[in-house]
Amino acid sequence: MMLNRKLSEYLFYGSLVLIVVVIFLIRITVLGNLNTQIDQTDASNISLETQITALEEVVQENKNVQTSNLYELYDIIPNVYSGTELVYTTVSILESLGVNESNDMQRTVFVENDPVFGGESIFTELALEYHMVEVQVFFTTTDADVVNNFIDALYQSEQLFIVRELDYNIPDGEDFIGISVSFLAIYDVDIEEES
Amino acid sequence: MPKKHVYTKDSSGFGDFVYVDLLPEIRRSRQFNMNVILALLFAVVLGFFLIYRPYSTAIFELEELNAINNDYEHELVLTQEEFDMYEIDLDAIDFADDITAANKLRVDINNLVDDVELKVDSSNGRIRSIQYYAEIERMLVEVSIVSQFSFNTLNNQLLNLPWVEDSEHSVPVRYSDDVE
Repeated sequence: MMLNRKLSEYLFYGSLVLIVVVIFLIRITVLGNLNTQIDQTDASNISLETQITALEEVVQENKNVQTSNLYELYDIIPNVYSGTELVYTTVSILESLGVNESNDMQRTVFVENDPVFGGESIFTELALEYHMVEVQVFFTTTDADVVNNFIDALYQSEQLFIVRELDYNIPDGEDFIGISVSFLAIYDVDIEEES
Repeated sequence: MPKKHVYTKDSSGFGDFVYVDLLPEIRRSRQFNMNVILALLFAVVLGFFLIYRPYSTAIFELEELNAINNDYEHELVLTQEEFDMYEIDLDAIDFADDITAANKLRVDINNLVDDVELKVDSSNGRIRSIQYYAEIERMLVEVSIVSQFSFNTLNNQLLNLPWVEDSEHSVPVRYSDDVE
């Protein structure tokens, strides 16, 4: 009888321990899943709130903005790059100003596909976003207006051209004076894509 | 094993009565029953505090979060509809902003030269050369004039131009009656 009583006590305490273990296992499993769901839902709420705030800001900032269509903007910064086409464009401007291929004019047009910009250059930031090429132009002329008109043509061109360097002596109408102009053209293309 | 054996004999001797308890004596374990009840009670109490209450709290919290989540999703859909209604093209806007920023980098050089030319012409001088370097935002205009007095006047006029930072002159060289 004493053995049975002891066995009974062992069974009792064993049962209590088993109950505690089982309850803790159930608690860990059930509450673990629930807490995971709570965390996920909470994170989702934060994400949604951020999206809503950002979207509302975008709407408020831009709802009255009138902007051109992308295809119109691509006239200013093209999304297709062709070095040959750029040379033709430059030559056509020069030809329209009377700068032809004659020996007197010594016209040269060269496209540098990878211009180097110094760390403090005003173009460095733009060059990180867009593909920039440099067109180096040299010609001679006796007429200062040719230079002025060429610079005007670059400034007023529909495509965005930015004069990078300009160096010339003003022609006085007698001798041919060398004119050196380099300008930048900008393209919205990935550098890996263009050739 | 029978517990009791009863044998009685009546007075006449004809009717003997024999009682035999064939059922075994079973001593029930009251302690064991109590233990089972205590264990069950323990399980119930523990389950209530460790499972049910945290579970119900968590469920309540989850339902609240789900309700907020549904509200947010609905609000996002409405905001998206508002965004679509205004036909906002973010790519075009960003691109246009970039173009505006790039546009600011180009300089109307002729306009600046005209500023100088107007002053120089009024001083009977002429522009000799122009150098422009966009990267360092600097333009050098070399002019020649015919007298030291004109230089002083021109110098003051040039320095009054908002974009002119500095003006200097070389040592005058006499060419007959001109100063260059």
